[in-house]
Amino acid sequence: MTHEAAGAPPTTTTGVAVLADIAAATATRSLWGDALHRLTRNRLAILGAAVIAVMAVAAVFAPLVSPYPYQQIFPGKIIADPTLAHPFGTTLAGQDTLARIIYGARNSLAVGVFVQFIILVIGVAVGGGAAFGGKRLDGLLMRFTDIVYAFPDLLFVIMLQQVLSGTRLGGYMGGLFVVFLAIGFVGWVNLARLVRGQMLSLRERDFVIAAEALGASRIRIFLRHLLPNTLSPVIVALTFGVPSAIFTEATLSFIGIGVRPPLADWGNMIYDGYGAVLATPWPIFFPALALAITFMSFQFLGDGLRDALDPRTR
Amino acid sequence: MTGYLIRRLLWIIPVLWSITLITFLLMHAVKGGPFESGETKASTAARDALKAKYHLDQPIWVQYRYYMEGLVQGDFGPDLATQGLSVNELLSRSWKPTVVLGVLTTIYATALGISLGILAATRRNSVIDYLSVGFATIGASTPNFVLGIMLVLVFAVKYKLLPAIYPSDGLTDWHAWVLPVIALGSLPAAYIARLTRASMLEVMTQDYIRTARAKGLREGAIVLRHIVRNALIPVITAIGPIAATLVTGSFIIEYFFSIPGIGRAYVQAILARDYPLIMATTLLYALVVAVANLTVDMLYAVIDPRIRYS
Repeated sequence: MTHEAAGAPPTTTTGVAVLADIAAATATRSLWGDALHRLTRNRLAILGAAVIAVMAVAAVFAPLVSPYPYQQIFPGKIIADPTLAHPFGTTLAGQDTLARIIYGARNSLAVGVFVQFIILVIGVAVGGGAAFGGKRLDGLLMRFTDIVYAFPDLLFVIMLQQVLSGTRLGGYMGGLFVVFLAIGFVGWVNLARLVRGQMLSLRERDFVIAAEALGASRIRIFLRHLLPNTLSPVIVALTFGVPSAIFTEATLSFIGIGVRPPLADWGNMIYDGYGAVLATPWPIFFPALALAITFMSFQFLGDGLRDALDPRTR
Repeated sequence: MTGYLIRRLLWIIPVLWSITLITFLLMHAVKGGPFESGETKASTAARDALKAKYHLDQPIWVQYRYYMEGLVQGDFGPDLATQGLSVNELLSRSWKPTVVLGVLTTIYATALGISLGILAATRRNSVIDYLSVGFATIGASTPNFVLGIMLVLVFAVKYKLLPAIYPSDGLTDWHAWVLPVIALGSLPAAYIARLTRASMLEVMTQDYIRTARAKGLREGAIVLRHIVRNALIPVITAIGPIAATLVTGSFIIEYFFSIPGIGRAYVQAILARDYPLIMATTLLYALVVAVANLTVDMLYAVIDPRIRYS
């Protein structure tokens, strides 16, 4: 304050007025409003968010949006090139590619969202527990995290998927539910470390010590100070986690683990199209494009969120 | 530093032991044993005899004890699917292609990623910058199996320059490795390029770079000795996990190009419920991950003298 006053021009009244203006302008926007403002100015991030929104709407209302049912077979139209009736062509089984891509978006987005939800729950519980549960619990949880981290993740996902699909969960959502669980159970490690590290370093920060000195309760400090400040890196990590979960699911279904035909899935569409790749590239081209566009959209949104939520790192 | 290294090395032992325990329990939770699939059409008596031979009729903790007794002597046990070969023999055949693929891919991804990142950062907002950012964006959004398909279509099918399937003498034939390495390494290369560029741009704004310019150092010396050296610290920490995932994640590329490596053996082992082979490959991979992370932590201290482990 004194520093600003010293640098202010002789007409102090205008200086004070400007300061008041700045205060008024910043007071109307909260931390989140500020971040939203920064995010909306990032064109790539908005583009990414818009693409994701369109995909989500198409996935939810697939029966209304899709030109045909995904399992409908058009006899005599096997791996047909794109035409007006079938803008993305047809598959090896004679199904409309566009319809299968729209229905496949359901799987991909569901994987993205549910896996991140599992990761969020386990990651915050383990990370927060380690940061707050005392030395002993911290040691125990972090050793456990080390062990899960050492598992080769994609291979562990395959094994878990095999274990779980033998149980009653196996038939749930056409095998997709088991894939969520497997990817989620392996993927929380980095988030747990992030949450723990963030909370431990926040606890040493001046504003938390000040709150403690003012007599704020542990719960209040946790809810008002630690949680909101941990939330931004967590949101960013989850956003970047979505496309990698989608890739993992597509990889699994490409090698024939996970979602099986006749259910539509981008990974198994690519595998399917590979069987006819010498005849035509279209059955592979469109699902691969869908995967790439989805990945890029989440990447752009993640970049935008990171810049918006933490303006110090660029 | 030495004490820290020894403690970290010793810590690998309980981690690996926990992994044997978890993997063992998980494997036995999978429905169906190795001799219950349709592949081996043995009679009930013969199946019982086989089960007895491999202790599969014993309680699970007895089986685990048998397994661990062998393991501490370096014996991964018999291979149940081939019957007659030991897992050790099987692994001694398949580790070489996996290691060659992992090493070549790591070199490719690191060299390409770092050079692109440096080029982009030093020529910011030029055509080179846009091209390499474009490569990084597209490369990072293409799954490796899709890239593999595209490469095979162009270079193997259309122009017939490189083989689409691993040849029998693949280990000594460089042609065999070009497509798998590009397919597997381009995504991490794109990631490394992004990371290098961001890190370079950040270092370039530091005061000591301005000081270096002010004292009249040549631009080349500033870039190499000051910027690159400092900018690579976060990149190197990222290379460890990347190298580990390259080795453990290579199974999809091994599967796709029919490379007879450990990854392909793992997938086949899981599908055949071949317990000892699953266990051995999981342990090997876990060891690779642990060693890669440890190496990076050590490298980190060598590059950045501010970091001290105790």
